Amino acid sequence: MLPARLLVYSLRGGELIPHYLIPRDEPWVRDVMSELDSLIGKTALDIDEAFSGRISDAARVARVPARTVKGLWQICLRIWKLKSMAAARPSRVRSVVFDFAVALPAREEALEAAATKLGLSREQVLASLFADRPAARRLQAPASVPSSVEVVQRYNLALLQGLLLHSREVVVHARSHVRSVVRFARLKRLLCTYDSNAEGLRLTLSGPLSVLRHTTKYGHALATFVPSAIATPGWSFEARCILEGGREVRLVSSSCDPIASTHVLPRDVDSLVERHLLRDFRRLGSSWTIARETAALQIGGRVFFPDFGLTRGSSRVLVEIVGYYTPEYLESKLRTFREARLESMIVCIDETLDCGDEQVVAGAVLRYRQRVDAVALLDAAERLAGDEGEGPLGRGLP
Amino acid sequence: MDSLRVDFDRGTLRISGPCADSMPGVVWDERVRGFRCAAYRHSAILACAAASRIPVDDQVRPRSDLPVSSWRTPDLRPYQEDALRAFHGFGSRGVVSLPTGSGKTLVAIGALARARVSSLVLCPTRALVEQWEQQLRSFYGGPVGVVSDGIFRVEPVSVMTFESAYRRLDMLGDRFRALVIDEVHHFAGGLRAEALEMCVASIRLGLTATGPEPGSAAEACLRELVGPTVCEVGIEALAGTHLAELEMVRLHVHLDRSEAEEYARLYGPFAELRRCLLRAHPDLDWADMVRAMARSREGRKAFSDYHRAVGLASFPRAKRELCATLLARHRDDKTLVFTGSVDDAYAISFAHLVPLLTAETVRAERNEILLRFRNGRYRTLVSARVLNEGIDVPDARVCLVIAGELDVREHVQRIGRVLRPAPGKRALIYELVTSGTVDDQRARARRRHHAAGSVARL
Repeated sequence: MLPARLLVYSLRGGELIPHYLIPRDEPWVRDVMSELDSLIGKTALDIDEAFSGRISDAARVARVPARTVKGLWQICLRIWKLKSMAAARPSRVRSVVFDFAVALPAREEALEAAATKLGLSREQVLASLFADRPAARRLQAPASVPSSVEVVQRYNLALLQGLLLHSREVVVHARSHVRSVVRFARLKRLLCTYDSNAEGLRLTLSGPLSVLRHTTKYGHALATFVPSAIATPGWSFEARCILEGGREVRLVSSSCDPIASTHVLPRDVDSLVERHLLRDFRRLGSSWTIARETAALQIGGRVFFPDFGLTRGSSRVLVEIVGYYTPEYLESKLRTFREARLESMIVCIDETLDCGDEQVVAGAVLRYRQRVDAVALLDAAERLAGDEGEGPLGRGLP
Repeated sequence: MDSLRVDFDRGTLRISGPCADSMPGVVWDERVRGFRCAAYRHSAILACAAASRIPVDDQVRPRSDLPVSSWRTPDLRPYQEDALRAFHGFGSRGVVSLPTGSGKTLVAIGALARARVSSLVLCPTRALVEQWEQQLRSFYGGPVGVVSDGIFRVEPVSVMTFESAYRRLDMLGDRFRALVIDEVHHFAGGLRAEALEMCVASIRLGLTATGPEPGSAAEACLRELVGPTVCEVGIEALAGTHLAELEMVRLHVHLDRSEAEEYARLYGPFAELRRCLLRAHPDLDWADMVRAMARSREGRKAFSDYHRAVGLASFPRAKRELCATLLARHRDDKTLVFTGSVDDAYAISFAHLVPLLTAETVRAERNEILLRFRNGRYRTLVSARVLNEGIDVPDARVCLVIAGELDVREHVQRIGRVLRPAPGKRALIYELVTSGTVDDQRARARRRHHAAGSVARL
């Protein structure tokens, strides 16, 4: 994320427009990258000095504000890393030097004594003394040099996240992988409200305190949440940001913006139990199809995503697997089932869980040990769908 | 009659039931279709419900009170007892302002030992967290929790940095009934005040060496979140008895010819621009002026040069020479050197081969340096800001203030570093000032402030 002083944007009415880098900027971005390559081995202080004298020129050539060049420079320095390089561990050198300086009043004597003890030359001692200081660290070449397109996209993401640090609420429109987006929002302990429509889910994220005061406390959670939304196809969101002085503005972004996707969406299935069930059920070759991604079910103020959906024609049965959970989580799950009262839901419960059938409100309950019986699940689905015409195993056993 | 239900929800309270809307600080939250308020209003809501004879179903259950035997009550000096009495007199909510070195920590431990409830201590730095942990262990028999970067160990008595509190009290704010806030003035500007808002603790004690100006916005902020200033004792009241005697020596130096020319070149455009701005807008404050300057290329250049001028005035050649002389003169005294910038601290450390502490110093090395300084192996320690607050350096006698970049609080805190009493000790404070520069203006501003008054009167 870029710090506030390097954020480049404009305001149009009540809207905040981030100044993203675009393909036209790539030539000067490449120039900056080449310049960094030429500075490998120099200290951070030398690099700063070399660069600070060139910012105005670079910005003028690129026709961008100096802050944009500085911001890009900062992104590049996360790729070309600065590392401490010294003949000996600097903290050890300091400890020895300061010890001798107490005993020997003359500076040179203390340095010579320390050099002898450390097995270094006097110059090496002086060079190592504060070599771990951020300003004294030296530039290293990256393991692999990214393309200018990647650097531009990373810059744009850092700019967007830097702006979102000042946000108090984000409204995300997710069209797919909704389940993982919601899960990530919950991990961030954000307050989520939902509103689903034909295009997907509209997820409003904020923090409890937001209703009481202007706060950017949740800015970090919102800024680090957003990459999970950006990883989904066709994403878009709107954020309410608070500028210095308390002015509130709107920031809109979508998949049309040139922003890097750094978040890896989770695999389709989380656990071994789910993976086995998916494979076993498909092997049955029944007329039912099994899918991981299910629609969100709104239950009171919460949203619930069953693990699988079984579909055949207009019949649809939902499947939820309750594996190992803490007592509090299990209770919360059971409460969800009670409130949802879903007739077309099959709940598969691990036998080892302390949970009686009478506690579960669902269309059917299946017990399993290590592996859910796909045949029993299909049987239960057939019963719930009320389809008596077809055998429990459907057509074509594997 | 239905009862008023109160639940803790991530740093806030959810209120439902009769008269929920008339409780203090409550607002309607459409997102959850319920009433909500900040967690720090917990005790006010219970009091309000009691006054209206509304039964309360309080789901906020901080950990049960600790066993009485867990705490050992510290022996307090008379002024510490007075501070504690005043704190209790104000309903166990308030700010105690005592000079550095006078034992604020003991006052807080006295308050916690008497309250015997689950308690949280907040402090600004990791170094102070370690210090508080050690102090609490001396008086509290149970385990002491720590939440600071990389460490997450919550116990009924815990210590946390301000930053961790800001990030974590939405999860942990219902666990503590007492809150001690060391260096409480950090919250006076309202910055990161959410940390205090997200905790339900009804017992709240703020500690500082520089209490807020009476009637100021800072005082109002602390009054709301912590309580009123219940006790304020200046250095002059304790110097010579409970604090060491001190002697202030102000040494004026001058820029040499080339430095003076460079200073004039760097400072001139800024001074001119500021004059113009103030002529046009007499009420302009510093922040507005910086914003106004940032709008033009010339303004930005002038402001950048101003910073370089400040750097030059803070540590010119004459101060370097004087610093060398004073360090040689006090070679056998335990001496703390405070600089205006981290770069200057490194310069002194490099030139005189004396250990330094900065925010860049890692924990293990910092502890090692402090240990060696405490046991006398090191006689001098250089720092820019790290030693400003809190770190307990018991017997330093000499303080060299090379320059100060912050406000009067910094000055008073720095002086306090050498005021811890010891038999026969007379603290010596050198303040180095570059005449006719911004360094001189800053030194004069420090002396004008009320918090520095007690130092000035000595």
